[in-house]
Amino acid sequence: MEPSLVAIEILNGIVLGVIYALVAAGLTLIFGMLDIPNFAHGAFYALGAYVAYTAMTHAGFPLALVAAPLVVGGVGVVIDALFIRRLARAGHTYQILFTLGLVLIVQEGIAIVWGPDPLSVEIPHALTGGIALGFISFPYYRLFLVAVAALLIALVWLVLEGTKLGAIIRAGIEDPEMVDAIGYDVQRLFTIVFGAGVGLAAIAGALVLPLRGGQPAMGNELNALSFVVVVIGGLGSFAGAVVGGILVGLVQSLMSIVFPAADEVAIFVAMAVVLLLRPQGLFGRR
Amino acid sequence: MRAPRFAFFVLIVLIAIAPTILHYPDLLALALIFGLLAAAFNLLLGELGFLSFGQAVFNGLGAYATGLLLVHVAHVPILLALLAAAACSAAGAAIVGLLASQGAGVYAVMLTFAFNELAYYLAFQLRGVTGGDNGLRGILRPTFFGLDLSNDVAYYYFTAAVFALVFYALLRILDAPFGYVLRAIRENEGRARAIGYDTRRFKVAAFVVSGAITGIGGALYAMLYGFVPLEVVDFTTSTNIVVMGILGGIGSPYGAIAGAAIFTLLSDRLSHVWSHWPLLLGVLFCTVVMVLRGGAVELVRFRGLGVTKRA
Amino acid sequence: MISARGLSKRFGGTVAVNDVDLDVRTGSLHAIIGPNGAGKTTLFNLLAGDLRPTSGTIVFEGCDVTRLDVRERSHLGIGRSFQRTNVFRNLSTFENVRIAAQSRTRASFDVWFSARHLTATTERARAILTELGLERFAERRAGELAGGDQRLLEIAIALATDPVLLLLDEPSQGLSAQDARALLARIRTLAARYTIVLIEHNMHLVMELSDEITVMNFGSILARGTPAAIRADERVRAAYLGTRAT
Repeated sequence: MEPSLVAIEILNGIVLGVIYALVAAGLTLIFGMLDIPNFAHGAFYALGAYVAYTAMTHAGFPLALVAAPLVVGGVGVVIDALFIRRLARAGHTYQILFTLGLVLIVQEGIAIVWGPDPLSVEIPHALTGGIALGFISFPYYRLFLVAVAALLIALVWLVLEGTKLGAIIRAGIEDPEMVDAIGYDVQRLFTIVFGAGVGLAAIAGALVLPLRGGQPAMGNELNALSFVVVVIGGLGSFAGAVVGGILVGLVQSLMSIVFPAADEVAIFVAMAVVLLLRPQGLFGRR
Repeated sequence: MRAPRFAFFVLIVLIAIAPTILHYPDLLALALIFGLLAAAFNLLLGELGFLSFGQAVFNGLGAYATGLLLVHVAHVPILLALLAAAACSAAGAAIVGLLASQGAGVYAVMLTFAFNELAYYLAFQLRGVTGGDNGLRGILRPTFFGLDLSNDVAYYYFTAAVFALVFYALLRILDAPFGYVLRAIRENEGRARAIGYDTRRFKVAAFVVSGAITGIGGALYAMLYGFVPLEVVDFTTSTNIVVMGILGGIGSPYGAIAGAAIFTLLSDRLSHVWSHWPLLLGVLFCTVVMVLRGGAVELVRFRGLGVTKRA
Repeated sequence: MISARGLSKRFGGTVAVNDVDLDVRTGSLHAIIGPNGAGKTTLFNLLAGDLRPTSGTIVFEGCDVTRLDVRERSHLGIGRSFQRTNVFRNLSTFENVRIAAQSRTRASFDVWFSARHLTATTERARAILTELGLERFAERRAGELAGGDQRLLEIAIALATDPVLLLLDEPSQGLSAQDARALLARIRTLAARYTIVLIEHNMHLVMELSDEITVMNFGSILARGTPAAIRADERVRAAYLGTRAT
């Protein structure tokens, strides 16, 4: 096999992987903290892409990258505070069901506001072109994406490990009741984490927009894969989401040149196996 | 069964006269099929307390089993086709049930989701068997003891008859000792074990029943359209089933029927009027979820459309 | 009726139950008491089957039950009630008891005939409710019952499984003095027909009811004997320092 082909696929795998890592990181924080699988996570990813699209057409790409997570994160905060918090008393089943309803609302909402047809944006002028690798040119934009994603991941890690808020969040993932007992407003914490979680998904969507374009249902496949990553990495484990995300990205990329028919099946088999044999995943503790 | 007997009678009458009110026998048949799917989902959620996000797997097993049988084998009696569907989906459900009952809480729910995705991609890849993206085509509707079912109204009444029988059986199951054990497991699995019930076996059995009913629905679907699209095993189908079940009210099989009917008829009518009707569905669904959680809070307390919960 | 030999339970570094020997005579009412953290609940859970011992054996009516779980022990005739009320809250009081009684039939996988046809089960449930004075709450949701009645329901559920040995975990937990006295009377009647092992903090109840008392401290047996002997025992008094052991 052509070595530069493999090298390209590895790089592509990393590009894919960091996107999965970002989305999964958001999902795992929500899962770990609120104890619910956010089935609408992919929809927020899509929303992020679309918000970025609008921001880009009016104010340029850098602003789009800031606007997407802020706007979508804000939406997430509102939704959690108004609805998901209120359902907490009724139990997780209702909260999970609510996120299911959200998918319909957000997806159709996107189609109504921006239209159902796929849209595309051009790669920002400063990032066009590529770096030569063997016979092929690897796009600068993809390198940029990896760099930004890595920066974000490092930032989130810093917040989680180095700040007081991060410590409270980590404690809340371990034992929300304890955090409540020592006097922190756990409900407010949940809302913050939900907003931050979907914000991460949103910025991933914004980053992907110039590469893949957008369409209302773009979040569906990613949603499913994010759950795989979160399960494999460990529910509530940020490190797990990152490692798992990159792993899944690499596996997908490499399988596409080795055994293209089986990649998705293999991934869901892996998910099922982990759930059965080691439900806490690679890094999880519960 | 005292009060339920009356409700069942009313249901039968409604089903019998429906084609004279709404002249869309295909749509009505679809509503009944979804009714079976929703009732099967309700068995797991409302009775056992288990949120199954993978009912489409059993639907697909039933639809493909029937479809393949009718495409590749000549002169298959229609009842055999139904039986084969039920058997295949029951087998699949036994496997899923065995594995899902091992996990606790949200892990088990995620497992059903994982199996659904797995089944979908498998169906997609096994193009030679399922037709992949294009679907399984060329399914001919068999006759029913000589009766030609190619007429839509005739097929509607066949579907209705199957529906009535299956639904009746479900009602009996729910009122039988088995049903009472399921509800006890839902309420307090730990105590159910402590008083001697092998809760795992009951959970698997519940899955098998739910799977079989779903599979029959899938079979009827395959014969309704003569074609099995990949969507039958899609996660979206699973979520549609969840939506139907919730809309009608968990905790009552009649609620499930109502939810399925509302969903089917509304989505058909609304899709002609507004292409973005799923937004309304989403809003309605979220509203129902928000409203349900009030008051007594527990899932089972919801009185789905006037038919009260037994036990 | 039930015996333990060399029973130990370790949780990580902590030894909760340390090399305990126990004998419960058939027909007796045997109380296990001791200060908080003495290991009573752990010992109880070992007997019930909720916990697997680290070492030692438990023999019930000649059968080695050490490896059996709660479900299997239930079918051998061990019925237990819980310290924190563990009823089927959303089912009716009647159904709580009926479903427990149903577990003794072979009918639980019956899917065709109504559960109403299990007349023996239904009658047994009614009889137990009546015996414990709960029949007037039969149709009421179990979660709506008053604390004292819920504790009775706890026991009723265990009774419905037709046990020979009753394990009662702090039956008077959370009850007022009046309710505790009423409970005492009930347990006394039950003691005539069942072998009972109970954990209790209410010393009055323990001294009134027990045929034999085992006192635990720091995971080991401190003393055992009749209520009179225990009352006089200096070590017991010392262990309870400050608590009235009357």
